[in-house]
Amino acid sequence: MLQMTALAIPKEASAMPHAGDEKRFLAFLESQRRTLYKVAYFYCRDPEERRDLVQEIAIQLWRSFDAFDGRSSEATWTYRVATNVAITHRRREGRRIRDALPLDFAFDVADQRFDQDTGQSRQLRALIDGLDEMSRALVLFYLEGFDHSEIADLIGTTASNVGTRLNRIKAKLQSAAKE
Amino acid sequence: MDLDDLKAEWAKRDQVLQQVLRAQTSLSRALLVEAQLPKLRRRHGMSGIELAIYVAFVVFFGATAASSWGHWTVFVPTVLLDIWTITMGALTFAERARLREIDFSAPILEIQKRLAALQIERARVFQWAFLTGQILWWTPFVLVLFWALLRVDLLAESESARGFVAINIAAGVLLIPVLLWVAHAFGPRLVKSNAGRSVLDSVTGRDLAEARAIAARLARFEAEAAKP
Repeated sequence: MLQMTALAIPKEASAMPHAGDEKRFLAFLESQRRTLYKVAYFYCRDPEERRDLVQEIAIQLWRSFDAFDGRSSEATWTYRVATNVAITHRRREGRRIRDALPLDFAFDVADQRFDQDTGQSRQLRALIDGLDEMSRALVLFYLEGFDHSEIADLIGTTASNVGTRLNRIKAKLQSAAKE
Repeated sequence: MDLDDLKAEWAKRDQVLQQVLRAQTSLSRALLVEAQLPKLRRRHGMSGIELAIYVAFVVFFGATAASSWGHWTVFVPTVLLDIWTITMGALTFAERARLREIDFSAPILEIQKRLAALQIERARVFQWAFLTGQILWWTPFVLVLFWALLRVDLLAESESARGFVAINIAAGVLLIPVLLWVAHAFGPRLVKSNAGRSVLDSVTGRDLAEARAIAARLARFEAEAAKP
């Protein structure tokens, strides 16, 4: 289970930015680096493209930041925004993103350590590459330790639907391993 | 290796990632990023240049229509062009406003379905604008331009001008399938830039086909997951 920290945003946050929002957002963004990296890893093979995607996610998080009302957890909120952006990004691959932030998360070190070329790494990559965008989200959340009802909440479906879908993916993985 | 084995592998990597990122200093270039953030607060509607061009055309056609009252062979195409321009602008504004309203923190399936629907609508509008633009834009615009610059009513002035207009309209209609064929057959080879490819996909309807395929995939995801 994930450790979740409360995001200190007042419930009646107005739509207009407040002074100091930028600093709070940057502190929040830094706390979410791991999540952003993992979502980007699931949706982009190429490290450069991952950086573009992380930028897009960061910009969308910023644009949605003052509307966060605390009804969902910080993790749920971040995963939903990040995954929605990642799925949209995949459909526009190759098209230039209009906005940019001079972010430097130093992900190149993470790339070297996280994405080592091992047998298990190749199996994981093969699994991910064989999934459509929604199934990738499902598997990512499963690997991240969310339970079925949490995954259902993230995706917008029911827990039994999540269970059925995951069972199908497991069966597909097992039959691929036998071949 | 099954999914649960992969879950254990993923957890190991996550620990490595946590260590790696913890060892990094806090977000470098923070001051630079902080300075950029206020500019990114809102999604773009129309850019300043797009808006200026749009307003300029609407005003130009409006003024030309007013000055050509009585000269119906100029007035009617001018009004048609003004209506077309205003309609296209309104559709663009509306589409971008709907995009701005999308809450990316809403459940994923819901948002992706809305985005796919918006993409289908945008692709249809662009195709419709492109096709009607061939007939509604070029020839009437020549008539309007002659009036606006030279106060010459081309259709009233000469027989040959009427012939010219008729040939242009016919050519515009016939050119559409030719252009579409060229775009399908040679476009990807000729168009290298991302912006060009984007336009090409819209013209050839590839955008629309892609958006429909996405919507169908999402519907299948919803429907399949509901099966026992």
